[in-house]
Amino acid sequence: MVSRREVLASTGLATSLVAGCLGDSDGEEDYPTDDIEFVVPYGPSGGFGTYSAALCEMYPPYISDDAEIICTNREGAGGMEGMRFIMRAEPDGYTIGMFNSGTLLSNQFFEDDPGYDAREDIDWIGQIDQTEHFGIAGQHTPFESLEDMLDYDGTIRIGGTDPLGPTMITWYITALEMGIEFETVTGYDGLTDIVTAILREDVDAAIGNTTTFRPPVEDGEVRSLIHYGEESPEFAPDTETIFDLGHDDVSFIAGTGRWVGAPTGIPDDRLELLRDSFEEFIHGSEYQEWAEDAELPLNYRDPDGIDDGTEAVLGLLETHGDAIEDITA
Amino acid sequence: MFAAFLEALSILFTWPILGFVILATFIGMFAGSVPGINGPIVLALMIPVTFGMDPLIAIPFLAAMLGGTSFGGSIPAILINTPGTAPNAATCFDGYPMAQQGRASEALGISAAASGLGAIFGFTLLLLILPVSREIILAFSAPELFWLTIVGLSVIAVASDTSFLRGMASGGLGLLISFVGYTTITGDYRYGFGTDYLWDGVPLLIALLGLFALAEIIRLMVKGGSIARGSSVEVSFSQVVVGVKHVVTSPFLFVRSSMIGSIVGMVPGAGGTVANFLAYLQAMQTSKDPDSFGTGNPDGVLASEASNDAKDGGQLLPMILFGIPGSAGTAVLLGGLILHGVAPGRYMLQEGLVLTFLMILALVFANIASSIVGILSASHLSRLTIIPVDYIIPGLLIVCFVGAYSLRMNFFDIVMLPVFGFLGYAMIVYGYSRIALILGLILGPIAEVSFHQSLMISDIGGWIFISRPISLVLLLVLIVTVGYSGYSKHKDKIRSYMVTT
Repeated sequence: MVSRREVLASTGLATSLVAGCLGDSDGEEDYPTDDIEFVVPYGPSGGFGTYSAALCEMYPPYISDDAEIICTNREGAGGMEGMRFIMRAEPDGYTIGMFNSGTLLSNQFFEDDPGYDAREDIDWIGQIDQTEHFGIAGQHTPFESLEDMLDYDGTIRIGGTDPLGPTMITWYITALEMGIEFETVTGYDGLTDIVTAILREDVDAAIGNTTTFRPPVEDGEVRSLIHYGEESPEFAPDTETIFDLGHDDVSFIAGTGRWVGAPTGIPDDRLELLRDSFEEFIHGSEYQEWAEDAELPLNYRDPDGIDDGTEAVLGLLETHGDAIEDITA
Repeated sequence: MFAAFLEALSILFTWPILGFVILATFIGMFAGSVPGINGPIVLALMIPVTFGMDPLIAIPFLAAMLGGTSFGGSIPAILINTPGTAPNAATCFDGYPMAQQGRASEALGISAAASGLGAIFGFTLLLLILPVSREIILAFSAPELFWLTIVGLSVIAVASDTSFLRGMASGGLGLLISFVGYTTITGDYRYGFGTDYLWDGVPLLIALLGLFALAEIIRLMVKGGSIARGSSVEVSFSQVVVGVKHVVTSPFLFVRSSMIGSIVGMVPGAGGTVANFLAYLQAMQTSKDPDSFGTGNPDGVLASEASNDAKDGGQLLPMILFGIPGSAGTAVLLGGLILHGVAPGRYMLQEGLVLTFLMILALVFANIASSIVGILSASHLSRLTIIPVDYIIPGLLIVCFVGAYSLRMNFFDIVMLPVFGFLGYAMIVYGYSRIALILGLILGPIAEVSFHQSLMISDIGGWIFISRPISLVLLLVLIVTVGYSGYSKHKDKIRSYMVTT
């Protein structure tokens, strides 16, 4: 004879099984049913924070009528804390975020045990912008192009933040390929701090990005030296490019890519929704207008393009990695 | 320029801008008074809120929020020996002893008055030196910054509230802890045990919360009673007025302290913390009763708080001129400016001059408004010091741990907090200076980086440290400061020796 307890237990078990089957959350029509966390690996000030704040405000209508995109700043370890947080998150489509291509890939290459592989641990959604690196020199120097540095008799001091940061790696590879001898002065807090160091004549040149270096170039306080894009920026049209110098391959690494991605393993339909909506959002008028007003560039690249870029950068690091480690030793 | 200033002034007092500025002031004041929720954090939280606002509303809103935190941070510094923001640390020296003596109302009155007047002084000076500020900022390079931090560190030896050797030991421990983490000089990760947690070093706010707030809570739990000890506890508005009067009747000390805050605050990297300790140091050295500093001397609170608010003007200068934030708060403010399409540099001094003045005026308004609110509410706030600790400890514990977690939403911050808490309590019990440890923790990285950078930029090796005019002046200040302090402490022995010989 079946006891009352056994009947109740069986009923409860059956009810749970039925409820579990009905609770289907994998269908595209159910996603997103909750807010999506957008992780930013840096603080709210600065380029990444600025782009992200606007994204979190304007992106939601492209993906859902109900869900919001919540920006979360997780700074630390030069951005790696936030990026690792994204890679380790549950791959359910409710945690996505922004990656700094330079930091992500240089850290993967130079660290003994980075704990991740950007080619395998991230599903890319799209690129917001690839801010190409840009070099400047002080007005106190005779340098108007990189070639002026080749025959220079004195000490050339290059200012930087982190000796293994993306901009310094761009400089090392450039100098190695062109045969420029130099010394580094690192430890500066940011690119604007380096500009001040140039104005003080503490350092002679630096590699950074067009966003930060544009104002001092336009004001005539510093001289443009090199641009790592195919065409010179509009505010410094006479600037020599790395392509003019015949070192096209350096351009792969010479930029700060603001890549949006998610932990690998998201259901395909959710990933597709994220990718399609993101592309539509980037090309949408609202974000475009905001970027224009804020004088910030937008350069969308699709996930396949990001994969190609990743391979190109890692290949370049493979070629020059030993020499860079000798420089920074 | 004057026309732009007047236009900005008229815009500030229009609706709804004035309404937003007042609201921001209260938010900033609250944030500054709660340890763990400081200016940069609340500002970062509010930037997305301003999205979509007109820049003429958003910019003064953010600036006023930052202005409100300066005075707000002195409230916990005085009442529970916990600086609300790092620059308020020097206020703990004498503010908390005053609270323990039942003079919390007086201390808060001094703080409120010095803060408001210091802000006015700082911004007046900012407007006067704006035309030449660029040259001043450019004159401070790595060697100057190095000596500035060493002068700041000398406060450990000079102003230590415990014995000299114990003060040096504490400062040395602070320096050791400060070297943990990734260094951008060599690209090495030091003593991180392979984790990401310590990459950026030991979090300063966690150290502050632990060493001061949590350690104080432990001490109160052990001792019981209330914060204010003894029978002569005065909690009244008249005591607040006594504090305000003290500021008004100490004009020379006020001006010197504010000048130090404004000028040192202009140096990017040195920040408000160094300025406040330097102001405190000069107050002690010019006092007729230097030995009373650290035991509840009102001049200690005056100097620190006047400098703390005067520095706000100075810290804006490198941000406006070069886009270099002078502090964590101005760094976040800068992010807000860029988000609203305001580029630092030439634009802020030419086409955007009205907006620049509006930002400055909102900051001054917030400083003054928070000071007035502080004066009016000081007597009520100081009642915290007579409440039996059994009632306030649970709330303080919650504030501490929530504040620690809210910093980075990192679980290990919660683990680190009691480590520093028990360290701080041990330091109280065995008579080691926690202020000295914090000084070492804050100034160590700046001193290390500036030292290495000086050698990197030098064509003459180590001689760079004494070959530049400002460096030489700072070195002389250091020698005179330490030498005079040593003489003052041991003058009886020195005189006795000279007589016998």
